[in-house]
Amino acid sequence: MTRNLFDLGQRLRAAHTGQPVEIAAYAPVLPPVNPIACEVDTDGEHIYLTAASDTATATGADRAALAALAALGADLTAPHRTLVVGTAREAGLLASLAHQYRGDPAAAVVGWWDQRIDYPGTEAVHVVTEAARRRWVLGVHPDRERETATWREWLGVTGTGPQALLTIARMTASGSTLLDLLSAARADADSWERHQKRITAGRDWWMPDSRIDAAMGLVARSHAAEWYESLRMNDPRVALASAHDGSVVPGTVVAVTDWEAIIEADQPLSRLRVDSAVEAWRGEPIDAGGGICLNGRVQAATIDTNATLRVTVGRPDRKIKGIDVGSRLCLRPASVDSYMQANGRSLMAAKLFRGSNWIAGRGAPVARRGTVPLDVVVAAASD
Amino acid sequence: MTTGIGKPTLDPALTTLAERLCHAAGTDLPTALTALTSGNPTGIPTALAAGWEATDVIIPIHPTLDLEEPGA
Repeated sequence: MTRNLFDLGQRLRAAHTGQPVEIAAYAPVLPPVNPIACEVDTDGEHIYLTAASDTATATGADRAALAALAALGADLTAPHRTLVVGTAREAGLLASLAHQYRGDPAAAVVGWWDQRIDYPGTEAVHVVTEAARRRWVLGVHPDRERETATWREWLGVTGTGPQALLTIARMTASGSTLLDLLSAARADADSWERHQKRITAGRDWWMPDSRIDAAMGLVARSHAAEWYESLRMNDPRVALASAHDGSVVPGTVVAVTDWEAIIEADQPLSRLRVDSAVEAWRGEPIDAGGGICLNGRVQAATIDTNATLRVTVGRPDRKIKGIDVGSRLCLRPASVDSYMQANGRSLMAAKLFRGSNWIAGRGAPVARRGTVPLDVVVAAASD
Repeated sequence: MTTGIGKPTLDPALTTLAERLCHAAGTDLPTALTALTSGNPTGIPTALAAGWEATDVIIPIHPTLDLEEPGA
């Protein structure tokens, strides 16, 4: 509820001033790479495309749409380029077109874009409405932010068509970029290279994944989402908002020893579960992105009769230093390390290729009972 | 810009959303707007006031990366 109210306050402010309100201090996306912007629509029978690069425009319907993309440089033998679309629906239409004419040279490029769109932080696909919503809030109902026209109006973009998409994409990516976001570009480059090699080796891009590839792909997508969310919390404005949903817990140290610290939260609001890995930075939410002064696991979280929340953090990597009673700090979930994630995926892949792993088609799954957090159950139910 | 609460042309959908959230928080939209625009946001939910004021907060930017498009 408090997060909803915080967001509403920003939205009302935007409406009052008639100006977008920044909700990120850093650009939440990488600048587009030699982009091809596309407007895609359908009448239910045909798919229509209007596309533009920085130097040319092209249009077409159905197979001719893929030819138009190829004319703009969507080429498997060239370095990868960024697809800029207004909405994810348009990217989906493009993907369905590629599957329909899968032998077309540009279809393999669209197939790659269709894969990468699932990886938050990717520079391969820039969905204008989604990226802009990570940077600004507008003085309209949130549903209207899902329309490209709304962003054109509020950002003062006078053009229309794919050129306007390019302009908005560049505005969204302008300024300082979140540190470490560049590793998403490296992942895109690796993925493009693998895609090129597979197709050069004669594998069809539209072939369904093997069970192992599907399992690994699912984990990789999940890791990308976790990593991106974690990275975003280093943005002071994102941290400021997160303090209103309990993802970031600002508070004051009320007790500290070499191996444990107790933090009294400013509000009785925390999503940090007992035993979850956490870290903290010194100061207030707006100080996010600086150094980490404490890490460990939540040992206890208690609320007293005055609705005061105290979070006990213990099991730090090393003795706690430089934190005193009265120090202000902000707790957050431990940062996600993309290298550790990659190591985890390597280990998982090794397991999938040996023994009687049922995902790899050997043996049958064994039913196992386990404790599932309530929010996971609720999220699964809402899916 | 032609949209906006308190402006000649309102966004009805946002107004409805705002009324619903304000009501759930124990206040009403006119009261909240009066408090917010007066610069003295007392008597309204603190989260609402914090959201309104968030854009005024000076953010200390840490050393980071200024990226440009390849070839730009």
